[in-house]
Parts: sequence; structure tokens; C-alpha cells
Amino acid sequence: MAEKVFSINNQLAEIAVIADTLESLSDEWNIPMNITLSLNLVLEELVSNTILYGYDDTDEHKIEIHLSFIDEIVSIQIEDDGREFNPLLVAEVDVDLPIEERKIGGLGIHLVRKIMDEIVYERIDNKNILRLTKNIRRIE
Amino acid sequence: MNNLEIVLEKLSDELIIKCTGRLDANRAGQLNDYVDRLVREGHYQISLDLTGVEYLSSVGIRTLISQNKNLSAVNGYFRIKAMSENVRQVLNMVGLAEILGQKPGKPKKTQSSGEKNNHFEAHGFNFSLTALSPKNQTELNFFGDPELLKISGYANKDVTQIKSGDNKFGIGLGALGDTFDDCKDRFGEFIQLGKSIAYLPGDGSKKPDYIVGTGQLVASLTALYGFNFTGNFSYLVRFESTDHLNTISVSDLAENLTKITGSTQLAVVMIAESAGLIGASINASPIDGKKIFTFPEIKETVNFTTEPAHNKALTLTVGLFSNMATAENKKYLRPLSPNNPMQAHLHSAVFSYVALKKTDINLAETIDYLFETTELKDILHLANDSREITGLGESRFVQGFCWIAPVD
Repeated sequence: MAEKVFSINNQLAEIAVIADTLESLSDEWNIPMNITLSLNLVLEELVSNTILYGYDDTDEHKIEIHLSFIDEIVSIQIEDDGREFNPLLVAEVDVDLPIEERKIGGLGIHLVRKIMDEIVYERIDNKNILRLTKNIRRIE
Repeated sequence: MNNLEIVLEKLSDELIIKCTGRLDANRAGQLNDYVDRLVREGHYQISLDLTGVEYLSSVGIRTLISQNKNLSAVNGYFRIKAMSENVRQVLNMVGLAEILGQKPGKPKKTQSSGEKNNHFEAHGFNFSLTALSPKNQTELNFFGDPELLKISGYANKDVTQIKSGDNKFGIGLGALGDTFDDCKDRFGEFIQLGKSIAYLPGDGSKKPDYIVGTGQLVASLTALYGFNFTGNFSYLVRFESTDHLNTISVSDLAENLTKITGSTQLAVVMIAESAGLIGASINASPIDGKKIFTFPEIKETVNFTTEPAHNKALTLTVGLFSNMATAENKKYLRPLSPNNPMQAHLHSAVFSYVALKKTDINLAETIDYLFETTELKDILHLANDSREITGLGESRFVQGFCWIAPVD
């Protein structure tokens, strides 16, 4: 069983840490490059959203990230102490609209939904806990 | 790679931006600022080469969408001409790969056959004149007594009611409201722009206020003095720096406008990007004999620009240029600069910057667009600070459009 836990501060510059960590893990766990990029996208979308909109103060906060890879399934857990936010409640964007009518928000969550197989949200002890999984061998 | 590199290539009218690296939440702002700068310099046709971009996040996509919309709105374009597999994969997921890759058709020419175009160059600027309806007559109305400002002598009997309405333009001192009593503590510089009226309350707040008239709602202003005119414009003049670096002063602009139109007195509405404004506004309502232009009160009661203000803002200016002093107009006009026979009175409404169309610009639509989508930041009576050595000189502009109605 492969597992990795790390945390970053609520600074946009810190999201580079995610890409670096994923890159070394994908070598170690032998995950294909295109999947690594998709997972990176998912993590960055969720974490940058928390960093940009999740906090009512300007204090330093930790965002904790658990990654595991068991039986071809990658699991991601993101934990933050920001404002309550359930990304599953964000309205689905209409990707068929012409560009003039496109809303600028909601795209990140849309990408996350497209990439991951399963997403579960919980609010526990004033923390947002989001669990996401993806079977990387499943043929799309 | 954790960086974003941006390299610019120029292909005649089109610019190509080649990006290498990551377009993520941390770096999309870099591309956005870069494109904003190009647009300010007048480049409206921009293609992107994203073959070197290994990573695109939703924040990056947002930049692509918003710049695409901005440039389409001004008849330009912002499109992806080539992209990496990763970028294509992400854009496909949000249904944008094709849309953002499209190059728009040629901008349509809607100039009607009756319009005549003239171009000339002066003061490092290109001027192009479009004759709209040269025979149009515009009536100019003066109202109220400007002299009472010096003694803060305005009272109920001195006011004129101004209503917003299509094609009506004017400036002066006044306040939004229906009666003198209602407005008496707030009189300040106003500018009437068709169905919208904006003013800077002289109540010390320094925050401009405005009403956009729509349907049933008519903006109503109580004016102390000023002038207004109907926008039966005879000419549209576009001015643009020949090299994106020159700026033009109000005096030089006035000289060229009178020259091309061959008129001695012009009512003007101008939409222009500023290169620094010099001017003043009153910060106290001129009633009850209040001391405003006396020292030391003036330090509190009048706002002067202490340096050129609102650089690169978008400005809407209404006013009058005149080479012809008459008993009627002279009270309302001031010399544009020392030893200049040209007299003027201009008020500018200052908005945050947005790109302007280069052709087919519509005055009423642009005014609406500015009030709806950007922030009105200030209203200023443009003045010339001609003090020797310490003087700031005149307001200057980078480019813009002037709608001109001769009133000879």
C-alpha cells in the first residue's frame, strides 16, 4: 500500500508543492503521466479555490492532503479549516453555451467532476473534508 | 517547470503570444496583465501559441475566456492558434477547445456611403474626421449666473431644472434632486451625458454619484449654472498617437478640432483615455455666502489635482471650445492656457479603464457601457495650472473620439 500525507500553507505560491509532490509520487507508484496531470489539476483547482475564497481572515492556515494508491485506485483527501464549502453543491456549468453566455465561475469544479469517479464531502469539527477517488485503469 | 514564460511575435497587424510553462492560479495573472498592456497599446488582434503550455487550470481558462470576451467586444479577437495535447484535453473537458480556437471573420465595415473620411497628422497624432451630418444645427443654452460662485451667492431663485434625455449633454454646478432645499448642501460639478447625469456632491464626501435614466425613470438635477446642448453632431474625430507614446494636451486638441471642422465655437463630447488630468472640484456647496475661494478655507473647500491624476483612466468629457467671445458665453468660459485666444469649459467623468473600439463606436452605447460595467471614480473641472515652475500644465490624453457640434 502506498500512502503520502503532506500539508501546505494558504498561499498560492505553495501550489507548486503539489505539482512537485505528485510528480515524484507518480514515478514511485508508476502512474501514467496524463493521469498525474489530471490529478494535479484536481488538487490545484480545489486547493487554490480554498486559498482564494475559503478564509475570512488573513492568518496562516494549513491545508492537509492525503494521497493513497491501492488496487489501481487513487484516493485524495483534502482537509482545511476554512469556511464551510461543499463543492458538490456548485451548479453544473453548461459547456454547450456560446462563449458570450459563459459564466466565469464553476469551471474548476466542473473539471474535478469530469476527472474523478467519486467525490464525498463532509463537515467535521469545523473542517471541510473532501474525499475523491479515481480508478486509473478504468477505460473511459 | 514552475514558471510561465511569455514571448511576443509580431505578424503585421496580428500579435502572437507564445506561452511556455504553466497557466495556473498562480501565473494566469501574469498573462492577463500582459494582454491588458497590449490592448492599452492598441493591439486588438491577438493569437496565442500554447504548444509550450504543459498545464492549464480553471483560473487560466478564465483568463482566456475573459480576454476573448473583452476583445470581441471591441471588434478584435483573442484566440488560441495552437495548443499542446494537455491544454486541448482540459479545454475539451469544458467544451471550449473549438470556441477559443476560432478566428473571427473580418470585422464588418458599416460606414455608410454618405460619410466622408479625412485624415491628417499633427502634434505626433493621427486625426481622422468623419463627417456625420455637417448641416446639423445645435442649439446651445446657457443658464444661471457663474459670477455668484465667487461669493457663494446662490439661492432658490437662481436654479434651473435639468432632466436627463437621449442626446442631451451639458455641464455646470448642480446636484441630483428636485428642489433647491433638497440639494443645497450638495451642489458640485455635474456632467449630463444623455440619459445619465453624474455629479460630485460638494458635501465633502468626494464620492461621485449618478443616475442612469431608464424607461420611466428620468434623472433630475437642480442646477445653479451651466450650459447644455443637443447632440446633433456634425463630425466625429478620432485621435490616436502615431507611436503609442505621444500624449496630447487639451489646447493642442482644441486647436486641431477647430482647424479640421473650420468652426470657431464647438460643443464637444469626448471619450478618451487620459494621460493625466489637471483640474479641480469644489468640496463645499456654494450657498449662504460660504467662504470657498479664500485662504485658508480653500485648502478644505476646493480639491485641486496636486499631480496629474487618473492616468490611463477612461474619461467622458463634455464642454465647449470657443475662439469667439460674446457677451453671452464669456462668463461661462476660461482661457485654455495663457496667451491662448481659445476659451473653454470642460468637465470630465473619470471611469476605470476599459478598451475602446477603434471603429464603429456609438456614443450612447459607450456611455451606457461605462456606467454599467466600470466604476465612476471622479468628476473634474479641467483647468490649466499655469504657475511658473510648479505649474502642472494641462490635462493630456492618449487617444479618443470627439463628437463635435459647431455652434457658430
